[in-house]
Amino acid sequence: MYTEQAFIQAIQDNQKIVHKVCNLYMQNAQDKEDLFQEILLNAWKGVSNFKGDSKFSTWLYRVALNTAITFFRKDQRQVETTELKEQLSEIAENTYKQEEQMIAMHKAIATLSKIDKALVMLYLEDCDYHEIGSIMGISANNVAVKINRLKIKLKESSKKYL
Amino acid sequence: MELDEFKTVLKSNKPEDSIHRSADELQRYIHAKTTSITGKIKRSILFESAAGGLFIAIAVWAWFSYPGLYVRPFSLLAVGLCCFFFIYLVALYRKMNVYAKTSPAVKENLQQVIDVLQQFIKLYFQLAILILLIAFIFGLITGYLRVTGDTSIKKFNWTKAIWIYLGWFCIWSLITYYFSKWYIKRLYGKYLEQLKEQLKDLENG
Repeated sequence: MYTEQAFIQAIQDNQKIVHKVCNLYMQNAQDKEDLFQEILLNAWKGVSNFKGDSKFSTWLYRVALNTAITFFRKDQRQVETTELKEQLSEIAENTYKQEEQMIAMHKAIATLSKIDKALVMLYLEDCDYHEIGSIMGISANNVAVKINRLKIKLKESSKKYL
Repeated sequence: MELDEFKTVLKSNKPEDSIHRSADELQRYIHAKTTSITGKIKRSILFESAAGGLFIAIAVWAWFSYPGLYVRPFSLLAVGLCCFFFIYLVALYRKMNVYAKTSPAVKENLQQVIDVLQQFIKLYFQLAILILLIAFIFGLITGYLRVTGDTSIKKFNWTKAIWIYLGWFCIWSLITYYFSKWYIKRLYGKYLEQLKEQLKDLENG
């Protein structure tokens, strides 16, 4: 059972996850702020039922993705993975070509559906297929199939941005 | 570029997180008001329950204040209708609270939100149609009582009156039906379609 203090401490230790999800799904600063708040609210409401049968980070990923996927804005703009963009800007020592390819991949990811974005994010976070499956509610085999399809799709679509 | 190559480059160049919220900020967030659609539906349910309670109070007051035949059937119908929808609303609210406390997988969560939205939309339609039916019966009763109670009316063409009433009622029903459909679609239709699309996306493959 998490007290408010313990919950806030756990969030502080894992807030990177919430930021990543917000950056992946929202472009506008205000929307990011709203989504951040909504994720925290949902996490706080649901933490009493968290029995510790999975890692806190896995559970938080699930809450964050559930909130982001069902989050609705009437004036939805084209979402952009700004966090990736920020990371890219810090790759100073990389070659221009690689940077271009990274930007193209980033743009290709931004065009994916909400579900595909979640799959790509979890894959980039080094989650194994079982973990991704438990977060998404699908089998590990299904995850493998989807990730393979996404790899092909992203390889092709990123070429368009070069 | 391959996704795996992208992942490797990202990992090797991962910067430190620039944003870090303090404990005070996080505490403020968990006590804030929700802006989600389900949160709005919950607020809407609370508002409708309160409005239902107010209608019951007015109907009970009218029952005792106006003992005439015109008011009592209406009071009875209003109380019955409000009680029926009150039970439905409470059940839906409780279901939403149970859902809110669970942290299911993305697929199950999508199914839950779709389920709640569909129930809420169904409730609105049921309410609109039921009100129409009640208004139809109530109109017939009050019309009949008015004609039979008025001694100045010597001759009344019932067939013609019923046809006119039916005609108006059909037009009104069509307007109510299409307006409710349009209104609910405007409020939640797009969102529901998006959620269904996401669920389909997840289930495919």
